[in-house]
Order: sequence, then C-alpha cells, then structure tokens
Amino acid sequence: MKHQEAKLILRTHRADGRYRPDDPLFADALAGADKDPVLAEWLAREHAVDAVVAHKLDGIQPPADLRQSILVGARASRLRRRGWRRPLWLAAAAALVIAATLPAVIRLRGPAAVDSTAFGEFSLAHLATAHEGHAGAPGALAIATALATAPRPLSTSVSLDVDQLRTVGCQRFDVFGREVFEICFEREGTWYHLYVMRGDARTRLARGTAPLVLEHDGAAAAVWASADTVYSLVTRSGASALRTLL
Amino acid sequence: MPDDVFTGLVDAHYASLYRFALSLARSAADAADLTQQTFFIWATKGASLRDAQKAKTWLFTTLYREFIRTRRREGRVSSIEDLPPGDQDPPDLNAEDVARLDTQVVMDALQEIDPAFRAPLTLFYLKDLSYQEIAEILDVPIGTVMSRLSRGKAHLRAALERRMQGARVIEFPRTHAR
Repeated sequence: MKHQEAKLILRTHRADGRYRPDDPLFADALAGADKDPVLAEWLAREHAVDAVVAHKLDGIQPPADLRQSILVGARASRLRRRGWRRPLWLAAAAALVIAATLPAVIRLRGPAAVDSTAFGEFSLAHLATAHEGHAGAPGALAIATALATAPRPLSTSVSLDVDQLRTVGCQRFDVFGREVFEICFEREGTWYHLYVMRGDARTRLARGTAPLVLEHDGAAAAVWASADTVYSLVTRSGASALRTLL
Repeated sequence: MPDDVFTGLVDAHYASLYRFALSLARSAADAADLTQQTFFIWATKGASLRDAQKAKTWLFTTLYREFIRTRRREGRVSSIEDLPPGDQDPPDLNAEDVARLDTQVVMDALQEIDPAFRAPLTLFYLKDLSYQEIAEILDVPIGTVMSRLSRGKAHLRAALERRMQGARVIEFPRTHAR
C-alpha cells in the first residue's frame, strides 16, 4: 500500500481503535504504519489533533433551560395523545355541549362587544366541556416554557403577540368573531391554560386594572388586558392557584 | 414510557444531540429547536421503538432528517458532486496549536464545511457512535461514510490552518527613526 493511500485510509481511524469497520484495509494501513516511522508519526499527530477537536466539541454546553424545555414539551405531547384516545362519542358529546352552552354562557352573540366576564366564562366553559388535554405544538412549547418560568405577577410580566401565536401553531378557536389562542403550561405541579385574543374597540376591558376572577365548579379564570391583548388564565385547581401567579 | 425512563434518555443524549445540531444548524437557537423537536417526535412516535438500544441511533437519525427537511424547505441542499474534493494532502497541524484556538473558532471551522461532510465528521468527533451507526444515521453505505470523513477532515484541517494563520501575529520590520 502506498504512503498516500495509507494516509487517506488512516485519516478516518480513531485513536482508541474502537468501532473500526470490519475492513481489512484498516489492518493493512495500520500494518504499514507499524513499518513506516514517518507514517506512524503522522498518524500520532492526526490522532492528537482529533483528540483536541473532540475535546473542544465536548466542551460545548447546551443552553441551561434546554433540558427542562424538552421534558415539559414531551410531557405535554404525551398528555395530548391520551386526550385523543377518548372515545369518539365523548368528543362528539363535548362538541354538542359546548355548542349548546356557549351562547348562554357568553351572553353576547356574534362578532360584537366582549367584556371580561364573557371572555372568562368562555375560557371556563371551554376547559370544562371541550378540552382535549394539554395540547402543545412544537413551536408553542417555547412560549409554554417561558410562561412556566415568567416572573410574578403574570398579569404584568406576560406580553404575547397574537401574530406570533398564530405563526408558531398554538391551538386556535374562532370565538366572538375573533381568533382566540390557547397555551397550556405547567407550573409548580399545576396546569394552567392561557387564552389570548387581540383587543379592539369592541372589547370592553379596562387596561391596567386588577384581573377579574371568576369561579365555576372548582375551576377559576382571571381576565385582564394589556396593551392591545386580552388574557384569560384558567385552572382546574381553583382561585387560590391562580392568585399565586397574579 | 415512564417519565423516569424518558428523563434518563434525555439526560444521556440531549447534550450530544445539541452539539450535533449546533454543527449542522450553525445557530444556538436553531440547534436548541432541533434538539427539542427530536425529543418531541420521540415522545409522540419513538417511544414505541422496541429495541431500547437503538434509541440513540434513532434520536440522531431523527435530528438529522429534521435538519435535512428544513434545508430542503429552504432550498439549501447542494449536490455532493458539486462540492470541492478536498485536498489530497491537507496541512499537517500541530495539536498544541489547535488546542490554543477558542472552542468557537474550532466550531466556526467545522461549520464552514458543507453539511455532507460536516455531519459524519461531527458524529465521528462525538465519539460514542460507531462507523456503522453513523452510516445508519446518515442513511449511506459505510464506504461513503469513510470517504466523506476523509474529505471532511481534509476540509477541516484546511479551515483550521487558515484560522491559525489569521491568528498569528505578523511582526513588521522595525524602522529606525532618524
């Protein structure tokens, strides 16, 4: 085997000798290096450079929050799949219930005016009658993670952009003639659901005031407005769980 | 899959997957997204994999496919035939000189190489994958892996050499004031 040919083969050889492919060419090239001190010296230098590059690569640390994001995202996906395993009749019944109850709960029909009570009652009704588990599109998981760690009170620290929620694939509903987005997140062992919509001239919500809290059948919702966005934070764990975040 | 088993899988592989993703995507944010997306796919599909020992290869394969899918969508896939062959006899580097380079400089050199060579090269340097596993991840014959590794290393040596030359201090001849 020629010197140059042996170099070409040995360039892919690992210093520790592990994981060699079952290829006699490696054995021939290594045998050549045993007999050729120049080639052996070159191979030792190659291995040394490889070790340095591998060490540099090994020293790169992932972002501090990546592990937690992965675990939160995967948990959300598993819960979502459990939700989809529910019998079809249950899903159909849930759809019928929400269709029947929403007009009464919301009180306001059509793409008309919306107030805090209506938005809060919608989010409570949706969570109670039609929720399919803690859904989370991959792109939405970063937002869920941010909400899980956002400083308190969320009513002042959270600022979401409706256009971004649409882009990343958050769960979307058409209610009040508007788009409403939902993000599910877990915080200190409790699941929360944040419903978000864009405010406009017809959303009668006072900005900058304390959140309005509604309770129904053990669940609770807190509604507030900030800039041009309206939020309803809901949990099945009651008003006390909400107040820890607000 | 129980939570503790999944957590163990994440702990065992997420750092290596992130490093592989970073070499491919060239941005920390994109690398984190790719890594997260890979485990998300595992949580929805991969948990049904019967052979637990294949989990590592499955994760790396999925990450690589996701990266390729993104590049295709962006129309940024080059044909291997269009790529430079790599120097037959690349510069002979000194390990101590390379060790003096910042990690980011070495990473920049690696990221300069076309993904066709960069992917096997990074997997080679991550060390915990066999040549056969690298071939499975990249879905190419093992001979192709060896060929791309050899060419990739030649490209990397040249890229590192350029950076070392750039880093060397050029001493100007002294002029004497009259």
